[in-house]
Amino acid sequence: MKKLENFMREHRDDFDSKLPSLDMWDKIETELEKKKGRKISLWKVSVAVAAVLVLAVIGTFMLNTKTSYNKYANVSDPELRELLETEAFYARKVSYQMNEINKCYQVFPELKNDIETDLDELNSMYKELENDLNDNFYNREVIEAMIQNNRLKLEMVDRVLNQINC
Amino acid sequence: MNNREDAEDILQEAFVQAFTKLESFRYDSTFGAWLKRIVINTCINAINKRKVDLLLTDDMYYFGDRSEECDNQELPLTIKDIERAMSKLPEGGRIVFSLYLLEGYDHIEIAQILGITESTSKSQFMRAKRKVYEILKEKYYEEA
Repeated sequence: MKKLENFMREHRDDFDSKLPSLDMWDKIETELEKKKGRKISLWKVSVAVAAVLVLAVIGTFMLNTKTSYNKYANVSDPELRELLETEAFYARKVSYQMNEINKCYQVFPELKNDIETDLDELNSMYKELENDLNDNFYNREVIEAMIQNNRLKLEMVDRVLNQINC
Repeated sequence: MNNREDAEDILQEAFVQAFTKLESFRYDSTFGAWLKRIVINTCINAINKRKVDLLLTDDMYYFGDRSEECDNQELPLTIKDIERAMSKLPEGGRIVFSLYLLEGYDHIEIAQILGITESTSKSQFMRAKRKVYEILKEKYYEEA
């Protein structure tokens, strides 16, 4: 049996007598071409899917920043974040005071016109600043202006509330 | 694969696979060895798909008394007879036998390729070799 093994080792090359058909390369080539075609279309599809995903992500991101600019969690600069927080604080306070003053309108209806002309001006300025903030992505000066604006509103409303004392 | 048609199908499949996975060739072996491994693995996968229980072919061969007595005698060996005998081997044994003697892998490598233990590879090889020898001898006696 050892002889069998030796014989086979010695005549190893003779066992390679069988050769593949001559058209094997053509077959392989056509098969590869087919694969290539499929691969490219798959690739294209995946690119399209990725593009849609990226657009969707950007879209939602933009919507988020637009509707809630003061979601400042993703602002890395601590100073800026503090400013934004301050702005949010004032904005809350203003809206609270506006509620208070709205109640007074019922008692002093003539107040409404006087205050609201002034307030409207401030509010439109505030709106502009808000737009600036969205365009400028957390510019310090814009935020400071917004705080200033809110302070003015607060002062005004406070004064009125003190005067009429309702 | 033990049959030309299957062998050519596998060859095609393996080469297509090799070309499409060309970038995964790591240069830690020669290209030939890499290609050979792909071909062999494709074969083994195809054979496994045939649902033939790969190794552990427990069919016991009957070793007649003759085997011992004529071990010393000259047994004429020809490539053709050996190939014919190999084609009669059970699948698992044939794979191990040709991987070892024709493809030149050692038992450690065969064990790795087939997912078996080294000793299984060794014993399968021994069995296959004995079987080939038996078949050759039978033929010799038939003709004699």
